[in-house]
Amino acid sequence: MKREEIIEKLRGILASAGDGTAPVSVTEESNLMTDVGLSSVSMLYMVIAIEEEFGIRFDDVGVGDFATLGDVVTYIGNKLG
Amino acid sequence: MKWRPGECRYGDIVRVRIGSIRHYGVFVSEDEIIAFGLPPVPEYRDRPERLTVTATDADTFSCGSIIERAEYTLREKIGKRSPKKTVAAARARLGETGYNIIHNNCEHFVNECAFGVSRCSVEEEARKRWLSRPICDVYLAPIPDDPEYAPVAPPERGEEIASCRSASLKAAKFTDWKLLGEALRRSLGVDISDVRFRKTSQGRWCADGFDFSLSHTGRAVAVAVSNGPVGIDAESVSDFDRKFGGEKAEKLRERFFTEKEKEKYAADPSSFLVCWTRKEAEFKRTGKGSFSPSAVDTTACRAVTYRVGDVVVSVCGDRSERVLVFREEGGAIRLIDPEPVEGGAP
Repeated sequence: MKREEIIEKLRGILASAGDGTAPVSVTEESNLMTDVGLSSVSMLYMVIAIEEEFGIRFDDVGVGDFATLGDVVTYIGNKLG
Repeated sequence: MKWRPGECRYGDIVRVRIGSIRHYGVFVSEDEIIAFGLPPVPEYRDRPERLTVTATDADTFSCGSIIERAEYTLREKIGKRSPKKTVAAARARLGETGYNIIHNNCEHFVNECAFGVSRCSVEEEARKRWLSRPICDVYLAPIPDDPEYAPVAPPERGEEIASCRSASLKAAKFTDWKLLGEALRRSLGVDISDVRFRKTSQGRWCADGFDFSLSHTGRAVAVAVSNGPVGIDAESVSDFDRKFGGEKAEKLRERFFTEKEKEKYAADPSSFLVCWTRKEAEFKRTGKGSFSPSAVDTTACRAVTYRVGDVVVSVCGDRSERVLVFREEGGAIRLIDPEPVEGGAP
């Protein structure tokens, strides 16, 4: 799956998981906490949603591994091979 | 499982609340509480055992918060290990690393020690929330002048489309159904060729497990997919202006709007289309009878309307708390963020 396709899918997830931020404007550089404004609970919700949507498992990540949306895209891309 | 402050006993599962997070451990004594990691407070941020199965005293574990102990339901009591086995399981894991906030956190740890099952209520709740979230997604796409026709699933629908005598209608119906395939894949994770479509007694295509609605106008098609009943209607503003501009719109309004709608919607063409598309969308959502515009009152329905380019599109759905709008442009489908529009009182 291309990076752009992953981001597009993530925007849909953020629209549902986020705290009211317009997901259309998020880019790979967007910081999940400061730009997207995700609380820790929303972050958890987002991670679970990604697992369900992409059929992957976040089983080898630590706290704070994801600063930007680009970090999440890279992680998903690697998981999908 | 219920949580209450109280005197902790050997082998209890205990927890403390740190801000919005809960930290769990297995109570052995006031001097020994075994937990996966230390509580998430700034003071412990640099300690090496922060994300390791560690034994601490009650003060270190609680960080000054009240320690609550678990009280079990009858069913949980039957499945629970003895205090001795719970403590033995916790001690056997001292020094273990591999903390993972989603799949291997302090709550997974205590449940595995006490019940032999690694589970976390926060993870389960988030998963449940996601899987049962309301879905009401709208897709818009232009109709190409000369579509590349391809086989359609189900074949009966393909035959219907192929039998259209009007080239423009054929193109619209084909594009709409193709967009439905994309919508199902993206929003519901469903492959259209796996769907068992059938027709209602009104001749409307439907499927089990989800609802969808289709509309086309001028040069565009619209699709709504939802996990509840849904209806969509799209109309071209320029087409409408050409056909019903000026006084004609006012006559239509007089004839087809309910009294409440006349109060709610302004007397200009774009407000007319807000109400009109809502009427059709609401009618499609209910899926009953034949369309009689003056019989459908939209003032109390759960409708959302958008203006995207030349198109006014309304969606009515039982799950329309949060509508996502996607638009195909240049062959790619993207999420857009149009402002909902209202008709405005005259």
